Amino acid sequence: MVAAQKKRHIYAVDTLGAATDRCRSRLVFVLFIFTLLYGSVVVRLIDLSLRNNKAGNSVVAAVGRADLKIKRGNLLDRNGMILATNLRLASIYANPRDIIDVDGAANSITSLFTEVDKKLLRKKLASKKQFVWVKRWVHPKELHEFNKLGIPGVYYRFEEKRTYPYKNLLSHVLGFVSIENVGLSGVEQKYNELLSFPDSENKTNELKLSVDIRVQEILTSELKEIYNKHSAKAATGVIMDVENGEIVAMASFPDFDPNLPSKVNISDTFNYATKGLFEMGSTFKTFSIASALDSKKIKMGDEFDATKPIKISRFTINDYHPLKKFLSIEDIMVHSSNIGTARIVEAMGAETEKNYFRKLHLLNEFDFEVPETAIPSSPDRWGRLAAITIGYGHGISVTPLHVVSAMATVVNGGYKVNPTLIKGKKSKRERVLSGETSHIMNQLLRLVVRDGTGKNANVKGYMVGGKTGTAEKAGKKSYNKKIRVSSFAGAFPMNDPKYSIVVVVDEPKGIKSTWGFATAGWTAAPVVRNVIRRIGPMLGVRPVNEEKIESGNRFPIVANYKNEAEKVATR
Amino acid sequence: MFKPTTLMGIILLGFLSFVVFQVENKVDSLRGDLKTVNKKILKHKEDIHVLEAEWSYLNRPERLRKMAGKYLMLDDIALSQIQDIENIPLKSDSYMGMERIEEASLIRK
Repeated sequence: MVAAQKKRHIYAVDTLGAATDRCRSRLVFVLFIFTLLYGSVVVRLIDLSLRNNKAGNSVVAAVGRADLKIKRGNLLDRNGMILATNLRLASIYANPRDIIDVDGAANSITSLFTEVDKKLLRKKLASKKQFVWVKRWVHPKELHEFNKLGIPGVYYRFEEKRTYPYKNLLSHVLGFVSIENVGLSGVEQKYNELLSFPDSENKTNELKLSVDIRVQEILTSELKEIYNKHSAKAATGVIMDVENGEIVAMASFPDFDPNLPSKVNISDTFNYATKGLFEMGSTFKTFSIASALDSKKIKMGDEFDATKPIKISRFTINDYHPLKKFLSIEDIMVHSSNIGTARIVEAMGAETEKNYFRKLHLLNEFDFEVPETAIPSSPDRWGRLAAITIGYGHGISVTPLHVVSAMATVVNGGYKVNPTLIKGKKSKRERVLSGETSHIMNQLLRLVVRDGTGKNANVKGYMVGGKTGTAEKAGKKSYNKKIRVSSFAGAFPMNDPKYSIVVVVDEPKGIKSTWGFATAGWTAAPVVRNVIRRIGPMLGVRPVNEEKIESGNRFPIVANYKNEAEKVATR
Repeated sequence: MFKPTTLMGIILLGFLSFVVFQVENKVDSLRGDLKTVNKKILKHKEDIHVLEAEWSYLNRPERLRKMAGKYLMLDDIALSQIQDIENIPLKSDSYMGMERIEEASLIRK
């Protein structure tokens, strides 16, 4: 019995011991689990505090960054002045269902906004719609007055309005936008996507143009003056950096105010600088003589028979002031001889002329930063007569942009220039004329302004060079002597050309102060003079001592040239 | 009643929860401040944006020319006003200065 008791006791002790053991192992197990859990929490905490990860930044994200969100990026000029920007303005709208007194509301709104049509507004407010516009883009002062009226059912919301602080200046380059801020012309249209969609950092893109608003204003004001003075149909001009093709100013007259797109006269939006095709006349002699010289078909010192007019089938090629003698290349440029140019074209041949004109980009459309461009028109086949007339700028129509670019190529040492409106755009340098040809042309162009038809473009100290052109406009059957296009294309300073310039005046009328003349020498050339005189110092172009350069060995053609004719037409 | 370690633990817990509360409170108020400041920044940015547009508007070249002519009697730079640095006389021979500038001028009138 005792043994049995003992046995039981031992058994009980045994059971107790085993239970404690089991308990401990469970405890350890639970402890282990908890350690694991807490451990992972600790690890995660350390991870969070040490690594600056996204979860940490979410605090900032939750509060939000103070970025101004504008739906359309600014357009800037080359110095950072704002040319176009979006401003927030209030627009007034109504929910006709909320309106209690239609007549009263219409009356009080039209008493404040006198330009709103009362009848139309009454009709709108009486309609069954839930949303009608009353007036868009209200001045803050008007908004204050409107708030005081407190008409039930009429509300306002803020909207962005494209604003152009310089108004008509640059209107053709910038273009304008629709009421929904979509670009409809100019840079606004071409760069619509870039301007309206935010970049990777969620900021709207800005676009810096190559235009200098100060130069633009000078060009515009001078063009405006000549446009009014000669009651011209249009006047346009472009100024270009000859090194990189950046356009510093581009104006076309008549112009418009892009702030008020609804009031714009469609015909005023025509950009004559990039879309206007003109037969440039004698200005083209620059390009044909440069081509002939570069092809080595003629050389300085050659003389050309200009004793009598040239007859080709039923056409006669004559000079404005016939000199009736053999002319040097200098004479042909200075006196703008058609006969002489015709001889030069005959010497080089139509094929060479066409090839060079293509290389000078006078035959193709430009891929440009405004959509308003034009394809030059010239005959499909360049026969003998066509080649000759094209040589002095008839039978071929190009835009002023073509002329200013080709002029830049001629004067800058012979490197092809791609016109651009964007500052700092890179393009590869490609030689199309030899440096020697370019140097000769610079001297010839200088001679035209010193002694020839371009005298009125001269600015003392800036060594202006260029070529005038007065072309009769082609009528229905023949050329009309009374309706002309006057142009001047040139560059300055000719010893080291910095800027090329073209000015075209379409259909100028002769007036008293110019003795009834409306030729290029009396219209386009003076504009160029005034513009260069004013923009030169502004653009940091150093004046040069002309006498010193012209008498030195660097300009032998200019130094040795003596004008033997008594009179040179300012044509 | 309590073991000293338990007591310590309770005190520590109380202290820590107080600190956490304080920090959270502080963060909350700072967050509020940040919101106000951001709102203000945005307002200022908007104002600056409008002022920039106005600055461009007031800098219209034709307006500046009119004002400069009226109040400052300034005109466009003439070419004769641009000189090489070596042509600018030293202060000592100032009497001869103007004549020398005229003489050295690249552009004779």
